[in-house]
Amino acid sequence: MRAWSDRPVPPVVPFSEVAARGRMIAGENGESEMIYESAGHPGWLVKRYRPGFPLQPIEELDRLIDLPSAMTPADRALVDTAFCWPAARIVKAGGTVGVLMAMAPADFSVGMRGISGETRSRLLDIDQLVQTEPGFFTRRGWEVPAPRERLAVARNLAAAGALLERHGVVYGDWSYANALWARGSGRVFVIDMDSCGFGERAWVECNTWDDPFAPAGTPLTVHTDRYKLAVAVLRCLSGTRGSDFPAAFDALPAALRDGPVGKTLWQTLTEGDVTARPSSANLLAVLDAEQEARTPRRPVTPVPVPDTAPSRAVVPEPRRASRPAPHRIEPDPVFAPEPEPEPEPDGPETLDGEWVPTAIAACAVVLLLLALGGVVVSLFP
Amino acid sequence: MSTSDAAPAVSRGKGLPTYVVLDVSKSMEAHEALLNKTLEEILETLYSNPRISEFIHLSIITFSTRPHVVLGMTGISDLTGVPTVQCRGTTNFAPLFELLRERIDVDLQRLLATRITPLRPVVFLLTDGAPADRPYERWTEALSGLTDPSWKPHPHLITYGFGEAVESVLKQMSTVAAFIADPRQGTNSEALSSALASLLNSLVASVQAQRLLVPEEVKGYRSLPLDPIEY
Repeated sequence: MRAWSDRPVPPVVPFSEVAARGRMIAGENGESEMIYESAGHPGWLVKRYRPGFPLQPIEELDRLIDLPSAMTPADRALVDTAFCWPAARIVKAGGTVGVLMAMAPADFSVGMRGISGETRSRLLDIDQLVQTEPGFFTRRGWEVPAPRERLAVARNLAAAGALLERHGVVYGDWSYANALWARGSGRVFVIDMDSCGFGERAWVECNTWDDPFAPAGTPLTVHTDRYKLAVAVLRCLSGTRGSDFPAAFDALPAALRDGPVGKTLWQTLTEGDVTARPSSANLLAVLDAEQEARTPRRPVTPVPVPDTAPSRAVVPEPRRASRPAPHRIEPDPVFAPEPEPEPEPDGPETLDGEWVPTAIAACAVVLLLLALGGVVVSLFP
Repeated sequence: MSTSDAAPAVSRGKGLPTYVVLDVSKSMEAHEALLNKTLEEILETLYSNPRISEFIHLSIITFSTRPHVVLGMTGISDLTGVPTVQCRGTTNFAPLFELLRERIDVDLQRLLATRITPLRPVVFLLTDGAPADRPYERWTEALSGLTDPSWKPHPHLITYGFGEAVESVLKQMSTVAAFIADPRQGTNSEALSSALASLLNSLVASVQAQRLLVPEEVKGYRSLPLDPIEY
């Protein structure tokens, strides 16, 4: 795997060093003229800018490229595994002509069966996760994502967002195409990182992702990022698309919707004072807590946690007096029906009540031991 | 906590009704395999990227003596096979333009019913021939009906011509841009291939920009802001 930490060139590299083209990844699109794999440095992508780009000051791009060197080892490890972080600025004749970035690791690619029936490899973005219909996945030759997998993706997105926020980096472009995910592990890989800003960045329009409290054209900040990140998390958890986020919210399993995760998401999405939105670290904390609660009796995999991150979830009560009163709704078909007071031990995985079979089994063992104890006492009075 | 009791009819976002119109008259027979291959490529791109099909609402129409809706403006994700085209007949434009106007009326109402805010539709028209309509003026009358500014959803028209296509006719049909292949720069097959590639790039770029991006040439685009149609 290639990563920022093992970049093969200095932070500013002459174009001649990376000019030789390997595999072509993409043609002209947005600010890039083309993206190709460097023939001289396999596993590294060269993004060539179109004339007039990049738009942000070069100093900001250099600062972004250098930022991981000042991070904690834990944060740098997260940069290496979860971001397509710009590793070097490419210069030619005194001007900036591109950036060098690590390719996404292989586990972010899957085979996908197309309409014609042919299966081709492709990068897996969250566009392919935010779906409710099981047939969407089966038609493509994929397993339907388990709730635990969705939770892992959501948690890892929040971890990426929290890292950016604590370093003052404004991403601004959370969208279906810009976050990859890996099947099973739920790892994520955030792309299109080179146009990030510090403190703020220029407006980016994205259908159904735009912050209703940040009018079009206004600079984006870490506070507007909190909104888009919450949308991404909500969509990954619920599978529900569209700008009608209350519908996506209603589609969450009750345990999430009515718990700290739901409260944090709701406040982030409805808080009119953008600076009062729960931080991405808060969102990460409640998702971490949720993930821990869903994995009883198993060691929790250590994850990079910021030194400054809160040790527990801080979930402020939503401020809106108009917040709708709780009531039950029909669950999203992606998730198992609720309520499930006593699910079968080998039943489908759900985010609700996974501890019940374990508790029943534990009670049975205790009763058995008590009964055996009684037998022993009666035999050896 | 739930919100369903307060859920208003929220828009599902903007959508760009898009019509890819392919000339499948007899003269296109030599390019039939290429047409089908590129048609598949367009459909696979939309099928494998829900964010694109969420914005680009695609319909594919072929025309020769009569027009034919090969793919209605329905969910790409529901497709279970790639439609194919066969080339035969002459190049009649009038029935095509009349059908387009009918389809736009129907399709936009469907989009509105599903809470999608439709942008002005766009028609990409690829042809290798001159109008064979009889009487000849029929096609210009039908075109006037399609592009009538008093009809709110009148579409943008972008034309690509090669082979026997007539430059003045292409210009007359287009409202945004017209392209005619230069035979000195390649074969008709190459021209068709690059037109379809340009069309596909335009669609993908439009998704990112959230408005129609029209190619200036084979490479590069000219941006054309689109206004939501007011009903």
